[in-house]
Amino acid sequence: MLANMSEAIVSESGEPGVGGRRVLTVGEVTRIIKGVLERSPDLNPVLVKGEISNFKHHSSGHMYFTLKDDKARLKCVMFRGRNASLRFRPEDGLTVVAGGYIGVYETAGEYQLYVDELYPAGQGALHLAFEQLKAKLAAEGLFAPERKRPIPFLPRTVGVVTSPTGAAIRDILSVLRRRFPRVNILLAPAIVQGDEGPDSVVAAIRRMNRRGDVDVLIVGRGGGSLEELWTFNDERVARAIAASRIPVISAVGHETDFTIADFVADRRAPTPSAAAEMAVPEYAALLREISVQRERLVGAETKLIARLRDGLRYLEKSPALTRPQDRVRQLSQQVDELLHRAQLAIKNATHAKRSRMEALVAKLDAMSPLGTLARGYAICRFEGTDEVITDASKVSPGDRLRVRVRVGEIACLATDSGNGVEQVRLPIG
Amino acid sequence: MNSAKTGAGAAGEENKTFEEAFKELESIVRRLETGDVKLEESLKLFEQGVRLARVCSSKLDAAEGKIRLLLEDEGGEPVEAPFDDLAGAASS
Repeated sequence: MLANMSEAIVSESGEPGVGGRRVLTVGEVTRIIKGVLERSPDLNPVLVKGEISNFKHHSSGHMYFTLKDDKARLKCVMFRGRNASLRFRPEDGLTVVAGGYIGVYETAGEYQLYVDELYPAGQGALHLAFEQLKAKLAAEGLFAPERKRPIPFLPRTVGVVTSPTGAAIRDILSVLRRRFPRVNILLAPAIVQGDEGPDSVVAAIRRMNRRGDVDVLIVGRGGGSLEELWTFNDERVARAIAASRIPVISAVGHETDFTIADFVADRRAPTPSAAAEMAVPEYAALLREISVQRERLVGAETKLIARLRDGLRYLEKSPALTRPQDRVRQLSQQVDELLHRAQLAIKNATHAKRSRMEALVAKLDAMSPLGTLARGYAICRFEGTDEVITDASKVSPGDRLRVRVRVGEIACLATDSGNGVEQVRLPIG
Repeated sequence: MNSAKTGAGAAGEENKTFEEAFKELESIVRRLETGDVKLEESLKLFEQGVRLARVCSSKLDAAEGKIRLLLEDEGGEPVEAPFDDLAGAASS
């Protein structure tokens, strides 16, 4: 044996070989192994389920860990470019499904799994299904914002599709009735988990849509594990929501995680209670609002009328309107005054004239020769010329004279010269 | 003619949704509050506002507060049932 071996090691040809068998270098062997492994359709690609241990997130960004089960261990590497889009943090003890291929790290002489995808076990397939369905429905436009319909403000009847015995229906009923005590509620009981879930929910949604009085639909259930919520990630449920004539509020009780139903629904509520709040307004608040508006209405009209009335009063106070007869009275008084003054003036004027006339008449009387005649004087004139004789010397005997006395005239014939007359006159004077 | 006109108006308001009636009420109140309205028009608006407020209130009270179940009979046809039945079934 030994001789054979030494013979083999130092062969005459200088070629490494033992008894005609070829001797390979480590590198050659490793390359052969690598080639075999990497060409194996069983190992490339491959999905491996196992528990993570020795997890290290290297500063380079690459992840190194070991997948193990109770029988074996498998070294794994997930490069930075692959792990950047992971939705969860891998950690020791977590059971995962890793997808990739088996390769060989030559330097260490180790085979390992080069990981391209990593899913939490159990949820992995669901998760994949979720992402695939989401992408598919999104591509069909089922999540488009323009598809979303408004939730009616005051629904005649609120339809609820959920389990009749779950926490969700209790929450929904309590919130609905607290906000709007007289709300009409129609519950279509549905199975909301397990294999029967999707068909049951779909049937309930369709049943609701055959009625005419349901204005909004709450579809959902209370919180649960991702698997328990899975009914609401089912394509049939998604399509039934999309096809619903009645606007749908999704109410899958999990604050943070979205379901496909949430994406398709017209509105997404984080919890069943929140869905109930979206479905109906607050009765008391509305009643208050109505009464506020009513008060404002009355107030505004009252104010408006008051303002008009004020304006009217102001106008009414103007003398032109308050005592329209005033002006007339004033005018008529003025007329009276003027008339009175006129009468007075006339009277005064007449009186004065009369006095003056009387004075004149008196003067005339006084100056009248008739007055003188009355006292016994006579006016003596030449007959024919009527020249008044004021000088006796102008009279010659034989002149015919006329002597006027108070009553009547005397025809006279002068018999003497003027002196005689003067003599005659003297004894009288 | 006048009564026929107001009658038609009231019917129109009855047919409005709560939201429509309420929005109209609000806009009437706003118009009146600006005060830029003639007396006769303001009285008409006021009357309409009072009617709308009444419509709003009656819409709020239109529901009966019923809770019912929508089930399926053996033929798959929808049938209604009182909710109490279910409460009993649930507790049993």
